[in-house]
Amino acid sequence: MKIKTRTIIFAIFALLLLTILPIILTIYVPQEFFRGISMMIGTDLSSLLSEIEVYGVFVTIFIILNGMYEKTTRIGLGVSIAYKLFSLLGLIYGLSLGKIENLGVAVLGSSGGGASNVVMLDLRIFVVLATVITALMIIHTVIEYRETTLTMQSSQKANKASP
Amino acid sequence: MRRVIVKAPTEAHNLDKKGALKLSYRILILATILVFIAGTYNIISFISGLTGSAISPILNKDEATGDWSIIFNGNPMNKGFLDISLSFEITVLDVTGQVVATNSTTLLMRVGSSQTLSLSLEIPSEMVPEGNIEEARGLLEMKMSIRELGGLLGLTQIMRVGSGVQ
Repeated sequence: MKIKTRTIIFAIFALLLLTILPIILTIYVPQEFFRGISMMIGTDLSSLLSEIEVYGVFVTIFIILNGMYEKTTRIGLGVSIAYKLFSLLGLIYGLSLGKIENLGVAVLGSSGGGASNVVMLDLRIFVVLATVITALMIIHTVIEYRETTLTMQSSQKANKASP
Repeated sequence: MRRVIVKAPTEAHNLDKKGALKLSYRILILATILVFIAGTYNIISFISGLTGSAISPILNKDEATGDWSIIFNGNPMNKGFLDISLSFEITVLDVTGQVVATNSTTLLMRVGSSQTLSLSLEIPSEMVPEGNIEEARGLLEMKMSIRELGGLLGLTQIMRVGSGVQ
């Protein structure tokens, strides 16, 4: 089992962007700032960043596993499909601003003093498109896996047949 | 007798299918990114155009009956590059949350066009006990919905101002 340099670079990049950067932000940016932004957008920014940190760790693990296993192996196929589904979930999570149950509707808002202001961004079309893309990618991976296994099986048979 | 020729799937056929699948999802990814950028930019352009032509309320009182009317006038302009459907709904609620008056309108705004928006609400005098609407307890809800790409992408803003309503 060998990890490609490209995989390591991608994994480090994902870890830096999705985990290390949010950690640095939570340490160095004043909590008052987070509280102010959270009140403005109606979402707890600190917990959103914590969730992104965890997501970053999982993405890094998936990138490493995806690079470790060949897509032609059964484990590789499983990891590849799981990674694609996890990425789709991450995208829905991002488009819904941390509320995955909204399925692509980002709700921003604040209230106080008898007044409220809520803004809803309807991005469901991107959830649909991303789901279609993920499905096509999974089908492609499965076709690739089946093709390779069939080629391997036929070459093994040919090897056995020849003395 | 007609002969039916059934072609067995070859490796070349599989490669074609696989290649076509790969190409189609790559085109879809590119299209999704382009739609996201174009759609978001268009909504931002439209909102920036709206701020220049603020939708302002005008209060009027019918001295004979004591009824109040609120008229919202605006002249929004579509500065974007995609057609937009703009819906505007205004509702007045009393302290118990019951609807006192409501009115809505929808405008289809072509690229570069400007339209006049006018909405009026009639509030019966019995809903304004002191006769002064500015001191009346209740809630004013303004809902603005911007849709584009045939309603596939959009933004809705709900603003509520008032007091005494839970």
